[in-house]
Amino acid sequence: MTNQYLKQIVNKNYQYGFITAIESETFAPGLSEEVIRQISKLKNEPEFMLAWRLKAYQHWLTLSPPKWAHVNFPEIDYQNIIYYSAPKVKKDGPKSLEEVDPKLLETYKKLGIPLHEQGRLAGVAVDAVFDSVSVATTFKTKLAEAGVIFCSFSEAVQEHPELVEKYLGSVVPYRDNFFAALNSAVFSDGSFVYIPAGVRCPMELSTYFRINAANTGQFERTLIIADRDSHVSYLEGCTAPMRDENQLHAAVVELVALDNAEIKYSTVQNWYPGDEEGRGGIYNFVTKRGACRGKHSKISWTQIETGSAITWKYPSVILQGDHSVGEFYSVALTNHRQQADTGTKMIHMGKNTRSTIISKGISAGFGQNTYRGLVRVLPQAQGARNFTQCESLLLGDTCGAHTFPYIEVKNPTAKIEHEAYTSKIGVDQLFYCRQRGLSMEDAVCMIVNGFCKRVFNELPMEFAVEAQKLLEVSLEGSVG
Amino acid sequence: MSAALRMSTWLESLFTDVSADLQPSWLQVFRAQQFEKFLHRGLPTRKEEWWKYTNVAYLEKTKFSFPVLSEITKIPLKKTLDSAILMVFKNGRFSQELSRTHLLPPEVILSPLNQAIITHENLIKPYLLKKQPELRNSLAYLNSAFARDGMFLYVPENCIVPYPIHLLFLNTEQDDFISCPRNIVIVKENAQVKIMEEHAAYQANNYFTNVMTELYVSAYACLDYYKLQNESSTATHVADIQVQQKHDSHVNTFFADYGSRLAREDLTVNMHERNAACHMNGLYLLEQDEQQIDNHIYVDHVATNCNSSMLYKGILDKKSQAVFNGKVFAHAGAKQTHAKQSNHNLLLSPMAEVNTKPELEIYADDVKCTHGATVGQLDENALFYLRARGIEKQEALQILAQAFVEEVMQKIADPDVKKYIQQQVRQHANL
Repeated sequence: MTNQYLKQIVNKNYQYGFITAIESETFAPGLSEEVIRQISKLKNEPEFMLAWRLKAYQHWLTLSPPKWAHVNFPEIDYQNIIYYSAPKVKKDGPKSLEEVDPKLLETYKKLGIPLHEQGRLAGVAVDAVFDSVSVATTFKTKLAEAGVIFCSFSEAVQEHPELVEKYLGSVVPYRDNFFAALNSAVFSDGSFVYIPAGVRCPMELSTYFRINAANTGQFERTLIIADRDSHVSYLEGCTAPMRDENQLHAAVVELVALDNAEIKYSTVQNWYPGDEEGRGGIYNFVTKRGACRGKHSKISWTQIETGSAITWKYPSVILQGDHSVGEFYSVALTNHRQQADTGTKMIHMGKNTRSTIISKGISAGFGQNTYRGLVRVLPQAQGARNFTQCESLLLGDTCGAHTFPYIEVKNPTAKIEHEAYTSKIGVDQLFYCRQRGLSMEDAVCMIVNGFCKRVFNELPMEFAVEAQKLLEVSLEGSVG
Repeated sequence: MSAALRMSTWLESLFTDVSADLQPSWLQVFRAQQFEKFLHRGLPTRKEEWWKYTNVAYLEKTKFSFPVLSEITKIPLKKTLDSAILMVFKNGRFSQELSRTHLLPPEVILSPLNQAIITHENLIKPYLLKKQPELRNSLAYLNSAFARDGMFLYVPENCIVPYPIHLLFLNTEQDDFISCPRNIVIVKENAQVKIMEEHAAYQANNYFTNVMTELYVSAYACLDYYKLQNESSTATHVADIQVQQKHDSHVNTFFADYGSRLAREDLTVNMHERNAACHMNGLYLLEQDEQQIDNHIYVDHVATNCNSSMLYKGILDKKSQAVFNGKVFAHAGAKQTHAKQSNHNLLLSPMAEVNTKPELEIYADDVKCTHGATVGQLDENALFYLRARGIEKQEALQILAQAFVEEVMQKIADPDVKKYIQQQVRQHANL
């Protein structure tokens, strides 16, 4: 009976799978130096950007795709991907929302993303990225009053080249890994945030990513700099249409926190996960890293990973500043044929640095869910402290849950704790709920929600509600 | 050029030596195959995930030879286990005069491997020639090619061996040699036996022990396996321990590593039938600069209702390095698996380093698997408590370290063995 119920839940459809018919400007598939020059030219980039892209490309050519992750997929033909696709716009780009293509606005409306400022309930500023370019950013003037820079990456390159040049690639250098190098060479847009010293960003910042065009890869880059004593909370959401082929999403996110600054980065990732047979879906190969450069700085990652055919992502924190804090809260759900290899890296360098890792993995159907984490304490990191807890829940007997924690300690004053467990939903727990008149579905949802509560609590309010719903949707039909 | 190729000239000459032994032809063929496999694989490198933290490349630098027969006539240890069946191997070769086997029940076969290959050929052959998947540790192939001696133990059905069998590998009065003992233990249905394998040294330097122990445990049988590694501080010790468990069998292992310059213990437990249980405990004490002890454990849960647990504890001083990697693999059919892993490390020096990786790879849903790892230093408050009661700092530290270790010591079921191991560890490890 449970199995039947499981099936029902699993079979719920992906609700963001529509395609927007919109005229777009698209390159031919393939990657070469010429493509990179073209992207750079289209973006009207300064010389240093092009030079950096080309260096990254040259380095990428020397690399081969990494094989160590616990995921299986056919080799990607990198020459068969379209590296640039953008909705056709007037030469100068939209100045205000009125100029944005109404079809685009409709798309975002369908996704439930409020681009119209007046339609907003709470103060969330949104930067929307459609295929390769950013289409609209809201609440600009209000943010500008506070001195916060929040714009698309292309805009930042034009208007704040000194900041971009200083920080671009300083956390994730183009040599970092295969996908970071690829992204550095071809990234087309993304978001840029700069919070000046002493400013507490007056509202939540948010980016919505949408892949629309077929056959394209999406390569965006996010750079967030929090200057001394500042604070920012940033949200990220992603969706894509349902297509039979796999699409590549290789993003890079860099965070820099200076003295006493705090960055909170939340992701609700709901790319198209492919169908039950594992056809289609997004390959989500993302490099995310934050550097706590200053004393008492703090970076906190929260992620809800429910989409993508394959997730390959390790949001990390480099704890350079003394007394800096790194946090990682994650819920990863794999259903059908989804595969996730995700986790974090906490590199303790400064004195009295602290990190917390809470990871919850849920596997259902034929999903494979892997937690892979590294906690490294360098010799100079006096008094480092880490607490790691990773828990996995198995729903069904065809899925897998794996844990690969690496702990490397070179300082005796470090205190490192790691604990993990893997189990299925207890029959007694289910019985308890059923006995009190809950339906099987509600019982399972309640237990799963309880399992994830600790991570959901870290999300901003609006997102927490969304995440909870998302989990219910993704899980439908999968509990046993 | 691969490491093996650089070593190959002197390895070839050693192999010619081995091939000249009196041996059945199937064994000669088997050895040649295994040698070929090792040459093909070469020494393990840090590029292999299973050897990520341990570098054995320096082994190439020494031109090892086989040891000459030792003249030693007395065991140079302060104490041996009193009521035990004792088998002594000097530099890897069995020594009749130092051994003591009168307590052995008559139905049990206990003999040095090179004799057993002749006298019990049909019994050993299927075990040596059994099909097995590619080994993670390429040095095990070298052991198969070079193994000239070791212990062969056969405990028949329903037999309970009342005394522990103490295997003592003494490495004495020689430098730069390679010793490859091979132990094969077959415990038949419903039998019980306790084995203690000890590696010790006396005036020997820079030698290399590459030992392999195979433990075949039949249904309803019980096996306790204790291992003490106290090689010389310039020696390298690589061990591969393979456990095959049938249904309803029970295995306890205990590893105490406190010697050698580099020690690597590779323990593989295969639970291919239902209701098997295996409890693995270990202790590592590192007190020298540049010393490294590496424990790798792989537990393969294939059948239903199997139980495994691991508890490893280590104390590190000076500029030493410890590695722990425990992996529990639960296959799709391994329902009702219960697996526990824990690893705790105590760092006493600012230069010591720990790399620990307790892994779970699970493909079955009805399981309970947990793991935990900690790294830390001695508790200041506990130290203060003892100091406040007038205990010298040095002694207080010792008490705390002893208490830390005691949890694992308590897992040793046999009181005589426990006493002996406690004595040995305290003597050598300054606890």
